[in-house]
This record gives sequence, C-alpha cells and structure tokens, in this order.
Amino acid sequence: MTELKTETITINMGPQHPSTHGVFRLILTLDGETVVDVEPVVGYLHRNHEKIGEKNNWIQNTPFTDRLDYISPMSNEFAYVLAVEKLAEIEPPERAKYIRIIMVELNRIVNHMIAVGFLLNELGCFFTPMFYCLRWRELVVDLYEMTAGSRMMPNYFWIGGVSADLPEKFLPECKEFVDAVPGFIDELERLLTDNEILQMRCRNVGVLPPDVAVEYGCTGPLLRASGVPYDIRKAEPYSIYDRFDFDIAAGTVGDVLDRYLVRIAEMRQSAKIVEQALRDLPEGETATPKKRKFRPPEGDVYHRIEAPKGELGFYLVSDGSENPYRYKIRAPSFVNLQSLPYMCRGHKIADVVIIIGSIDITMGEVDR
Amino acid sequence: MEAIQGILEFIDQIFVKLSFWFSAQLANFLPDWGVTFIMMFATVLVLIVFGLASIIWINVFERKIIGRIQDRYGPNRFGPWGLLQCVADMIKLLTKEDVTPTKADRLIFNLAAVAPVIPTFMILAVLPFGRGMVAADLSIGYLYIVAVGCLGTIAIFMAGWSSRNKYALLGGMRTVAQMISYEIPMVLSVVGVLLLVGSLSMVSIVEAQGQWRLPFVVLQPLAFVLYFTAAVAEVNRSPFDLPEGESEIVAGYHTEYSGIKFAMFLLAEYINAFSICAIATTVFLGGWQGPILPSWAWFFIKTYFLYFVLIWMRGTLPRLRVDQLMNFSWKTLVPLALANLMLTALVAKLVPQYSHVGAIAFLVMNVVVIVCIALVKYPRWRRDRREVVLVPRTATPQVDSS
Amino acid sequence: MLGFGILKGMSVTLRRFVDTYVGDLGKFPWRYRSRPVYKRMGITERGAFTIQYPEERVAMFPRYRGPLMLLTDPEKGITRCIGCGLCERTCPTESIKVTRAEEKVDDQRVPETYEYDMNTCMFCGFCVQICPQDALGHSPELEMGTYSKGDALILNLDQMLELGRKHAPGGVWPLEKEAEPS
Repeated sequence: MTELKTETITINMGPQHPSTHGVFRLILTLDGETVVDVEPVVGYLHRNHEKIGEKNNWIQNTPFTDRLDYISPMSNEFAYVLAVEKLAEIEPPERAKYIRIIMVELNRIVNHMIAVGFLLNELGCFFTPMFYCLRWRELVVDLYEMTAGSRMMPNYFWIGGVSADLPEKFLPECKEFVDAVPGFIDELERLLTDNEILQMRCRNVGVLPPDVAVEYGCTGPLLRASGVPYDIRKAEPYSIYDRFDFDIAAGTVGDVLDRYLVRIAEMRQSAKIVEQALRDLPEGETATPKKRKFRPPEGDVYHRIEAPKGELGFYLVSDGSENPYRYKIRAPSFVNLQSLPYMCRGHKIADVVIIIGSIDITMGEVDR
Repeated sequence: MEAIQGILEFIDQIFVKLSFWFSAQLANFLPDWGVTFIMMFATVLVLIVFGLASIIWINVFERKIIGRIQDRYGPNRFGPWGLLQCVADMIKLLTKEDVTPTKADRLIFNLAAVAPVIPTFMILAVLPFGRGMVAADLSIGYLYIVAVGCLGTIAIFMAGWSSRNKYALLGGMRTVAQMISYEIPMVLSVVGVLLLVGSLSMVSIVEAQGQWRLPFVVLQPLAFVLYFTAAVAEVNRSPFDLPEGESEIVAGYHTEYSGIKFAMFLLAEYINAFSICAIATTVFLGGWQGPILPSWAWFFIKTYFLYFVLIWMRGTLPRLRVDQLMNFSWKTLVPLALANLMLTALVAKLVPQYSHVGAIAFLVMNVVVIVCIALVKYPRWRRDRREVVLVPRTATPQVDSS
Repeated sequence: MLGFGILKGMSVTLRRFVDTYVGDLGKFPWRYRSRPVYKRMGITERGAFTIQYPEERVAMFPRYRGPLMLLTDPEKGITRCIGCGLCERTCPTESIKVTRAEEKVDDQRVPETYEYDMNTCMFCGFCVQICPQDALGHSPELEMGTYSKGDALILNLDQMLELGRKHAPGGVWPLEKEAEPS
C-alpha cells in the first residue's frame, strides 16, 4: 500500500494563547496532531531593558532587575548586586549575606511552586494545583511585603547589603513557613505525582539528552533533569553558599517527568538551606552606608548565580562613571528556550504546551 | 402508620397524579386523540423546561464546587450565595455580539450551534425520573440512547469544520475520533447489565434491580467503572476534554462561537453530563429505588452525587493526550468490556437469577478480573517508578570541543 | 497503578473541599456579614484563602510601599521637606519634581511645589530611603483607581501633605503599626 499523502498545516500558537506563559509566539507546522517543526518567535515583550540599564546609574538599576523574571525578583537583584559588588569590591556585612540567602532560597521555592503549578495546569488539571501553589506562594510574598514593602517588586537588595533589617515578625513566620514547606510539597506530590495520567503524559516526552542539553547551553533544572548534576551554587560557590549543606537533584532521563521531579526535590533542598540560614543568622549591621550614586573603578565584570531558572549572569562594563557603560544580561529562560524546537519535534501538539511549561520560561526575562 | 404511608405515597406519585388529573380535565372537552396529542406536547415542554432550568443551577453548583476544591468560594455575588450567577452569565451571553467569521460556512456554522442541543433533550425522554415518571417507556430504551447520543458528534464536527479555524478543526477531528472509540466500551459495558435484565427498556432495568434487591453496581462494579469512564469521554468532560482542551487548542471546536451560540454548546454539554449521570444512576445505581424518600428524590440524589464526582474529577485530573486516549479505549476499555461481557454471560448461565449466591458469584468474578489485571500491571509499574538522584557534589559538564 | 494514584489525588482535593467548609465554620459570623477582617491567613491554616475584597480587607504592613506622602513634623506643624531635590534626582523614572520656596518658614527651608506623578512611579522606594530629612513616606493607600490616566494620578504638594497627615500623624515612616484598612 502506498503511503497516504498528507499535507502539513501551519498554526500560529500565540502571542495570545492561554498557555504560552505570556506573549510568546510559536509557529507550529503540524502533520495532523504531530509536530513537524516549531519556530519560536520572541520579542513581543521587548522593553529596552539593557539600554535603560545604561542610562540609569549603578544603584538605580536594582528595581529594574525585578522586572526581568518577575516570578523570582530576589534572584535577579542578587545577581546584579553581586556583580556590582564584585566590580567595586564592596563587602556586605555578614547578616546581610545571610538575609540574602534566605530571600533567594525562598524565592527558589516560590519559583518552582509556580513552575510546577503551571505545568500541571497545562497538563489540563483545571487550575487546581495552580491555585494550591499560588496559595503557598502567597505566604512567601507576604514575607516579602513585610520585609521589603512590596510583594512582587521588592527592590530589597542594596549594593553593599540589604535595604532594611528583617522586621520582628519575620523570623518566627519564616520559620513556620519553612517547617511547613515539606508538608506542602508532600500534599502536592500526593495530588498528582503518582497520577497515572500525569505519568503517561510526562514520561519520555521532550527528552533532552545530556550532551544536547550542554550543547544548547541549558542550565538550571532543565540541565539537571537531563542527568548533569551541575549547579553553580556548588560548582562555583558565590556569596556564602559553601557554608550550607544541601544536595543537587538530578534526573535520569531528561523528560518532562524528570523536570517536574527535580523541581520538587529542589524545593525541599531550598527549604533545608533556609532552615540552616535561619539557624546561623548572625546579629549586626545589614548594610554599608547608603549613597545616592557611586563610581566603581574602570573595568568589566561577569557574575553568574544559580537563579531558579538556570544560570543568570550580569556582564557589566564600567568606564568609571556613575552609569554602566554596558549592561548585558545572560537570561536563563532565553537560553533554555532554544532547546524547544529540538524537544518538540515528533511529539503531539499537546506535548508542545507541557514542554514549554517544563522549561519554565518567563517572557519578561526572554525578551528583556 | 398507614396515614404516613399514604402521605409518602402521595408525595411519591405527585407528578404522576398531576398528569392524570390534567389529562382527565382535558378529556372533558377533547376527543381521545386530542388528549394524547396535548399530553405528549406537555411532557416535551416539561422536559425542555426542566433541562433549561436545571442548567441554571447545575452551572452554579459546578463552579462553586470547583471553587471549594481550589480553596476559594466560587461565584457568590449575584443572588443569595451567588445562586443567580447563571442568570447574569446568560444575560451577558445574550447581549454579546454574535460573530460569524467571514470565511466560515454560514449555513453549517449556524446550524451547528443548534444541532447539539436537540439530541441531548431527546435522551431525557426515556429516563425514568421516578416511579411511573417516564415520558416514553421505549422497549429499546438503551439502544435509543446510544443512537441519539451519537448525533452530538455530528454537531460538534459541523462546528469544527465550518468555523474555518485550525484550532476548531483540530478540536472537531479529536471529537470524532474520541466519540467513535468511546461509544464501543460504553455500549459493551452496559450489555452485561442488559443480559441480566433481559430487556433494553430503562424502566425494566430499574425494576430488575428491585428484584435483585441490589443495585447493579454491586453485581457489575467493573462495568460501572468502564461505563462511567467511557461516558465521561463521550461527553468531553475532564480528564477527556480534548476537543476543547483549553491549554492546547484554545477552545477547540467552539473557538469561533460567541454569544448565544456559544451558550448553546455549553447548554448541550451540561445536559449531556447530566444525562450520563442519570443513565448511570438508572442502569447501575438502582435508579429511583430507595427507602423512605420519594422515588424522584432518590433519583436526583444519586444523579447529582455522580455529577459531583464528575466535577471532582474535573478539579483533580490532568488531561490525556490524543494517542493515549485512543490507546486507552482500544487497548484497555474495549478488551475489559468484552471480558466482562463474556464472564457475565457465563456466570449468568451458571447461577440462579435473583439470588444471593448469584450476587456473590458476580462479585467474585469482578474481583478476580481486577486482581488479574493488577498482577499483570504491577511488575511494570514497579519497574517504571522514577525518582530523582540526589548528588552532594557537582559535575562540570563536558563539551565536545571538536 | 490501576487508578490508585488518581484516587490519592482525589482524596487531596476532597480534603480541601471539606476544609473550606470547616474553615467557614471557624469564621462564621464574619463571612455572612459585611465586616472587615484585619487578618491575613495563617501559614498552616486551611480552608478558603480568598479575601472577599470589598467587605473584607487586610491590614497593610508598616513597610508597605504605596504612593508617596510628605510627612509633617508634629512639633513644628510644617513639613520636614526642605525641597533639596535629592528625591527628584534619585528617581529612576523621573516621576518627582520639586522646587524650593524662596523664603524660609520657621527657620526651615520648605518646598514651593511638589509634583509626584503616579503614572510613571514604580514604587521602588529610593526617594524615601535617600531623603536626608526623612520627610517622605509611603502611604498605605490601596484604592488609587481612576477612570483615566494623566492628571488624576499626579499629586501636588497639598495632596501629599494631606496623605501624610492622614496616615502618619506621628510624622515617621515606616509606620508604627499595621495600617488598618479604611
């Protein structure tokens, strides 16, 4: 029997589509329900972030970094602040360092909550896991609001410290939250990890072999799920990460299921780190004296951290003036997104959606 | 005691008595054929009004329960406890602009909006809502349900095709594939019950359960699960809501519909979901039979309980993929339904009808089937369990520099 | 296996479903009466999480960063602001314009005009942190909605002083206690 002649159709998925995580457009070429080719189109949320960064002075840039990956603002600030501190050789006080770690790891928990929640939502669970995750996120966001004054755009990290000391109520509430995190994750896992439909949907979908993942420059949970236990917190410990005891979660196959499990395992590890940081939190100053502007020495610097989504790096060039001469961001979502066409080819249209969900992108960071 | 029984009897039969009274009134000034004619019309009217009225609160019921499952309250602004939310929604949908895409096939596009509603109302005709409360006791009741139920597929495919929208087309294609494959297990699973009853009439199915003094869910638990799964797929409810898979193909076959036409699809969906619950109640849960409460109350309690399970599933489960959906039907549901049918036929021959021995034999049969499947599946499930590896040290990725 | 995973998941949602009703019992008189609730949900608390907004409101934290207000010195009765314009220069989005008055009041420089543009403000809080006189604060104001962009969201000196007197009578920021919803 001769093979049936079929025509491919081209579908525009996005920029307004319920599950493309913002204004992201995919041009899908489909053969029936099977994806033949994927062409991502980015740039709908471009807002000149890097150019604005050159116009602002060094200090004014911190609130703008909040808007990069708006799910994990603290991590963005952390990367920028560390880069500037490296350039200007400023050493923040001990207490500030610990506070930063607490904030950033809480942020990782939040980010993974959202990533997992939206992934499950895209699998079709009519918002239930998403609402649970958002509810838990709300608790952390309340902690941010209590400390920094703002829920999503905290602007909390100051070059040379943090903008304010922790409020009185923070420590007990944070402790309570961290103690409760394993319970939350257990509930989330009970809800769906063993679910037959989820296992069927996620298993062997969007497999990214370790060598391909490395070649695409993938980082973060995406790379670790492929079986490469690479984590900048361990590989190149920045700030005070060498003082904490935690493990890197790595997957075995590199499919959507592994990414889901790795994120869940990382949440547990983050809770562990916050617990240690709360235990060791020293007393003392939280910031070096505040200035309106300052001039770092001439030179350039690249500093990278393990943001929840992967390697977040800031490349800053200083010409000795009060503005950066060049301000470049290596955004993890953007780099990770490049592996999307590779993962999608040959799968069904429904898989494309969950593969995007499993990469965990934020368009604010992809387009900048 | 007898007085109480009399009152209960009266409440139980209130609708039947009402209809008798009404036809008696008519008989005063109309010939026989006129009375029959008007009574038929009245019944149809009552069913349609019942269907439309039940939407008003099924919708709120569903949204409130989903809300509670998700740690929120659901609609609670309009009317007491938000019960009138549906009215507000309807007003909104009615006053919305009725868009027809320029490139759409106008006739079919408009026809498709009405088509799904008709078969859904037709199914209501054969459902026994209570003792003696059935609009038309067809001798081929279940066959009629299957035949009419199929019509909905055509309507959805018409909608998907005529919108000239690729998402709608995908949705339409999915519907056809899904409905055709799930019709088979849905019918086959009930055939076991029909064997025990010896009739296709819905009323005799209910009465047979009275004679067993057990609902068929006890005798045929496997068939019940199979039927319910297949029926959920048949009406496109979660976890089988692929034709309108929101996160994948926007809204599936009704992507291009707006306003009142969109409301028609919603109407059809809700009544369909209600009728599969009602059918499951009739066939497996003993229909209107139950102690003390009037028969129609029992029917609605059981049906709404099943509807609650539907909503509960919608609030919990993720969606299947197209190929897995087909696999699940042809490789799991159909063989199981066939096995169940054959074993039921065998056991029904061996054991006496309407006896405790028979009931136990059927239960044992079902347990054996389930244990067999578990034994086959367990090793594979053990092997496939996935866990992450926790590594205390990092590895530097090696890049092939050549 | 065999739907046990599904049943496990469904038990979780059922528990949540029941918990919302249990939670409702706990706040029985509130839910059905229009009365604000000055309380956020506890961390381990279960039950419905929604705040029924217009009826229930939560208190804002003392450090909450809302629109700016000018603080008044309670002893002198005039604003602490000396119109130095540091806030204007530190603002990343250029939403503040200050001019300094020619003559002093009470031996203190005062601003002549102060224009704060909420359209462009991103609530980063730099102006408040940089102010040498601690004359600026964030008001815990939430309901700032207007029907149009533009002038309605530009606050002038009087409006900002009014906000300051309303929310921070003590003339300090962060506020002493959680701001109760109005």
